Amino acid sequence: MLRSLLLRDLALHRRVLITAAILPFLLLILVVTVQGQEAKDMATALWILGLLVLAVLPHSLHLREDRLGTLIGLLTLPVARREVVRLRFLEGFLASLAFTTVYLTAWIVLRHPPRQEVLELVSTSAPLWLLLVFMAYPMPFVLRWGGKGLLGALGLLMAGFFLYVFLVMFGPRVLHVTWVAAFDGWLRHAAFPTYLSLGFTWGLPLLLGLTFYGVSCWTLERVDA
Amino acid sequence: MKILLSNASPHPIYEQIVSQVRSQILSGALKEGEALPSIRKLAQILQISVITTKRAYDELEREGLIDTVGGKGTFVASPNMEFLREKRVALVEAKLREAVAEAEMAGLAPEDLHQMLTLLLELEHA
Amino acid sequence: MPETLLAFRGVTKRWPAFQLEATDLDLPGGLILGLMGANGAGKTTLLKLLMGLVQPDGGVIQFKGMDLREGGAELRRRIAYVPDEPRFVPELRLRALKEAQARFYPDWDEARWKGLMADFGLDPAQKAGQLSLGMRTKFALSLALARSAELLVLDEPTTGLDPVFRRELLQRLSAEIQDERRAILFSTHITSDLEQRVDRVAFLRDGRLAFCQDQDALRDTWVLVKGGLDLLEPGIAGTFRGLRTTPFGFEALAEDGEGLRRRFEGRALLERASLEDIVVLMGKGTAHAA
Repeated sequence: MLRSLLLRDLALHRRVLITAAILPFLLLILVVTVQGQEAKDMATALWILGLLVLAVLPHSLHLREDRLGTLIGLLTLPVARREVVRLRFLEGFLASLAFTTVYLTAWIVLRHPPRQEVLELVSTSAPLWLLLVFMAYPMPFVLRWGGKGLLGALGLLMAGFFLYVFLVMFGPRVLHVTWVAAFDGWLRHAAFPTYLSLGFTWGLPLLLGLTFYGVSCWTLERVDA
Repeated sequence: MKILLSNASPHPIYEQIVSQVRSQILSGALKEGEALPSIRKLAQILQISVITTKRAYDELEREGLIDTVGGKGTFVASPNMEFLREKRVALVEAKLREAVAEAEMAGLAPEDLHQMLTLLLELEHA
Repeated sequence: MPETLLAFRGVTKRWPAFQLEATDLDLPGGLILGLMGANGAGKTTLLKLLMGLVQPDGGVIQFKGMDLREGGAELRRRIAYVPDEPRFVPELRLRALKEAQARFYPDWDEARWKGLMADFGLDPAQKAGQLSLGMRTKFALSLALARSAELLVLDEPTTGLDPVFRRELLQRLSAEIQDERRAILFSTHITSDLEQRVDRVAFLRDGRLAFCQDQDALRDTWVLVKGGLDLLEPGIAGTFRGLRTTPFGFEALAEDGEGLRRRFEGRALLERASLEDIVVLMGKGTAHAA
């Protein structure tokens, strides 16, 4: 069933998907232009940027169906709503994976980066965190409230981020030292896993992602189209 | 078989079907053993409800005019003369009753009505 | 009696602005059920509840005795649905749209689909964005009819279509259910669509099911009474439905045709009520004593 759903989306959203597929090549042009010491940082930054765009791909597909009025067609197919949620998550993962593969392969072929740099990039759990924050977390909001839901979820995220920054800067010392610092540590270690156990940086986003998946299923099963 | 339905008629659709099929069987236009369309087919052709055609066929079957052979279809029955005669007498009686009512409304005396009937019979047999 | 294909039992949906009250419906195999009602009466909501697009607040919907909420996805394989004003991705060709949908149905009949497209005057190479509302409905119908679904659910399938095609469609639908295992449920606000082949009529008024009866019985039950205002004694007017009075007389629906015929003895006009009469006058509600 999931296969049929994927093929359906490939046909229906051909335009969006082709645009998304061009993305790694656009970013690679930028990568190639930067020489010297900054090359690795540039490659990392653009990779993250690409992942960010692809993390919201499932949302844009869902919102597009909503806008075009084809959501009714999707939800009346002989497919459980849980499968539709599974489809959206899968689309996010597959797109990120495909992008990473193409992008990193091209980067290696074009720039011959040192082995250490490649390993560092491949072993980070940053993409998982990105998918968690930008795909899994807003998903229930999108399924329930559409475009407004996405904006609301991202707004909430921004508010949380500013609160965090505020606490770090002006919060009581106790807070700063204990959990804010710990949270700060998580984020840092997520991007540089060499400092913390892999199980933690990979396990936590996976667990949270599964939770949001469950919430998404629960939400879509109760939505009136 | 020929069926013409009228929405303007005061008679329900199923009655219209029954009376038209009945008169065609009685007149011999529909012969014994002849196949009738299925309930669903008839509904589709006439564009009326299957419930209506079923009701009409049930009525015709009750009158002994048609037979439904399970799995094969519906056929004009071998006529039961006694029954048909009774039906016809009842029909004549009903029509006469209508005529009597009309006559009363028109203010005709019973003698006038008798006279009219006699005259009509003479004309018919002349 | 053929087995009940579809049953609504006390199905309720509450929204802030609209309520569908506890609804009971029965659709046996081999029948066509016409769902009537003004715009906003709840027709689309009722069909969406059936398709699982809208979640009920109470009651059960059964397909062949199975709860549609539990077995929904699998059971939907045996149900075909044409939504009200169907929409498609505009830049895609009809062939591609068909391809995307047909994959979900093992009983998809490609030859049949091609035949339907030709009958409906549609070209598979056309893009969906070029289609008018009527043509989109026809395309959705081709997708629904190209498989042998046991239940066809059509939401206002005649909107945007000309009278000739409307009549052809009804004939096509009645040809579809030549066997008793299939049934059709369609909604419309045009009475003439139902006047014909429809077996059972359900009438929704402000989210409430006013009646669900066989057309045959419905038209046997109700007579249209017309007469002078002097006939409108308080006792009798109370039994009328949808009473309408003018300076020259009154018009109403009544149940007891024989009784009225005896009572009025030719002073009133009694006619067989058409479906249109029934729906229009019932839509007005119970008569108030004049």
